[in-house]
Amino acid sequence: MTKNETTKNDTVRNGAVRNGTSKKVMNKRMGIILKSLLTRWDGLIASIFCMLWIAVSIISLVWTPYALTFTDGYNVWSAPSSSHILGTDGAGADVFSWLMAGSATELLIVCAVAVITAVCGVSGVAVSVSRNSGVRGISVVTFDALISIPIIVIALLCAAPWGASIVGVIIACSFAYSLNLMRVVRPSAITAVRSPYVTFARYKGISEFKIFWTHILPQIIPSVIINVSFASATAILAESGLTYLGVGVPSHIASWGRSLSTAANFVTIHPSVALWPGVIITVAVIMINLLGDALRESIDPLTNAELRRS
Amino acid sequence: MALIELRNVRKVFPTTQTPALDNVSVTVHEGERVAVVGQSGSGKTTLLNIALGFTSATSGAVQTADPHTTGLVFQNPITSLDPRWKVCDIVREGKSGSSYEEVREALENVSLDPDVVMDRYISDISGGQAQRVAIARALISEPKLLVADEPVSAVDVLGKQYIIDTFQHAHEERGLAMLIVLHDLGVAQKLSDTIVVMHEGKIVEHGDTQQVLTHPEHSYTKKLIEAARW
Amino acid sequence: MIDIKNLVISTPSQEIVHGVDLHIDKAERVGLIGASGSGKSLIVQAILGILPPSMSVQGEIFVNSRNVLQMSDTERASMRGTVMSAVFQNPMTALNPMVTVEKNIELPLKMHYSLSRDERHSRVEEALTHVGLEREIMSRYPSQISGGQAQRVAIAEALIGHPQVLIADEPTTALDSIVQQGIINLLVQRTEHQGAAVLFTSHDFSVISRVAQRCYVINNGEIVEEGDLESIINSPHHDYTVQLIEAARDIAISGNDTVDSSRGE
Repeated sequence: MTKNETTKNDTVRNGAVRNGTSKKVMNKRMGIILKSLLTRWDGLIASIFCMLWIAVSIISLVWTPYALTFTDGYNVWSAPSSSHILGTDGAGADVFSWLMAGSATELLIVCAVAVITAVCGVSGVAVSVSRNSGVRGISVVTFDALISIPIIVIALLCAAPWGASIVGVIIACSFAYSLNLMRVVRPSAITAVRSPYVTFARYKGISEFKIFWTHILPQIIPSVIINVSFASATAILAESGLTYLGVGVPSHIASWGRSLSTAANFVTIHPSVALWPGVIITVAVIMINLLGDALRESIDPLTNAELRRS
Repeated sequence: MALIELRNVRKVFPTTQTPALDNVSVTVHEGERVAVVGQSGSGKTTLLNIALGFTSATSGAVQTADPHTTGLVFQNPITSLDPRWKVCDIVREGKSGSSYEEVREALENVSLDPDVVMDRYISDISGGQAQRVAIARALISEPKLLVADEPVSAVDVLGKQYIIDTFQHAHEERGLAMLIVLHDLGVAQKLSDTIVVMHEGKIVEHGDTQQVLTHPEHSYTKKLIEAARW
Repeated sequence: MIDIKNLVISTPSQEIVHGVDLHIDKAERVGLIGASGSGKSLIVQAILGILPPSMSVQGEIFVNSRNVLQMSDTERASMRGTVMSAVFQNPMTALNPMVTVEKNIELPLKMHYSLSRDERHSRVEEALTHVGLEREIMSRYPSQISGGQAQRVAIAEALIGHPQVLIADEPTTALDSIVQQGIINLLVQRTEHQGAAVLFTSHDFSVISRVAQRCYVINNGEIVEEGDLESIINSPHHDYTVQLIEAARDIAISGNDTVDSSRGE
């Protein structure tokens, strides 16, 4: 049918104010996004997993089946049993307890890296598409200089003065992934900035900040979400590597990377012990990416039909 | 009082040798409707960009349009309106602090039913309707001057009629001055008092619309007239 | 030549084309006119077999007595370029930007005929002359030529395989007015020379009147009027046809009302 003056099944709205930024409308939109997220299969599974992850992490702060310092020299490398659900490692410590405690560390790392990467990455993109050519120039040069520095080097720089630390891991990962986000998201931001509607807004004198926030950000959000979920999932893997090298999480703090690297040395003799950290890391990475995917589809009015209708 | 003035403007881009604009002079007075007509590559878009201050002239005197009293309409409504914004917000952007009522009025002034289109996204409405939304956005601030770049090219013949009517209405109601870039003389006939015909960066004919169309002097103008006949 | 019977095209949620009948004889030039959204492009896509997979089609489309809708993709592909070919609205998206103009034009020859490189080269040269372009344009890339030139290249490519029918879907809509004239005249001249039938879609009667001998008017997915071009323009029956004619007349330069009826031949 031609998109003419009226469409079939049209209801005349009764003049209620449809201001895009009023609180009521925002809450309603949040509700729709949440609902869309949970009705998708990937959103549902990922959300359940994350709820479990958060619950387990919180519990682990006050209780684990065995204390982390527990060791049992007579019971090393044992297979899963009724007393040790996932068996024991080379020191006789309970694998399950260590993984449980590690989940809290990983959760902290994942959330911190996600937030910092998002904030720094998006700010970097905003600066790099500014109207002011001087600002743009500086940001490009700085970016090119910084992106050449590998994660390991940053982690070493953080570890050198203060020793290995979680904060070091977070800083190193956020630094590298923010730059990566800028590199990947910048092209779509540039396309958005060149659109006539941005030209119009600038001509009208609307502030650069407002233009970025209202026009460009909604356009790049899907890409940002993908990148951030990728970054936070990869942070888990990066943490493993850094911990293995001794510049990641310190040895007295549980982490999945630690569990994995200690077991990895003996994987040819006792393969099953490396299995559990490997499995939980893999599952977590998949779940984070599924969540990112589902979130991206739910948040965009161009892909979420219900949000569009609201 | 001139709203836009270009005098002996010359524009050469660094990448090419031939000037995009060569000794071009155009003035838009209050209440005057000027159509700049030419094919692609004639320099009409460059003229527009200079008149708005988006590019600077290589030489010549330029008085650019005042952004506070000028409304803009671009060629393709699909790319010139944010696809993630509702029509209501799009139109509201044309005037800061505008109220809901003002938006309704602006839409009615372009013959769109606010109750039907306010909450829609532009992919839900036709190209012609979207272009009228763009015009509403340009006119909501009640400008003195409307600058439009090929406003009917991307729209079908029925939509063109609506848009021409909208422009004529805006001029009649408010004495709105216009600078419109076009490639079709037929549309120019309806929308302007003064015509400027451009070819390869130069003005080949310039004068009162009716006069130019009934007594064209330059051969290029005659070609354009022929192409606009039915 | 082309026979369409009761064509219905639907998206998952609604029917867009409602039972269209259309007929094109050998070497006949037929216009299909309607505003945007009326379904013209969908019909073209259905004939060529390039409808998006989400759309469903019912009815029959006979090209040379073979039902295109029931063919496999490979069979349809072998028809494109030889039996039927197409020119679309935006030449820049129809041409391959990664290869030269020469390689673009010779594509149908490479796909359907076995000719030597030199033979292809000379055919491309010939095709370029026929569409009024200089030989030296052969080595340029699509991004280096203008919109009007690109559409001429697209026409050269479409006609180089001597198809029996050329489908032109709003080929002049995106072009400047003077260039439009040139392209329309070119299409009429070349297809007449090759004895090819033409299906030409547009929203503008002033354009159709320069091409078509017979015309169908489509509104909201239904054919509302059909007949000889002259009789439709001089005495239209349906309101919608009247609307379209008046709009085209309105927008054209006023001062000369008579339709030049010799242009349709």
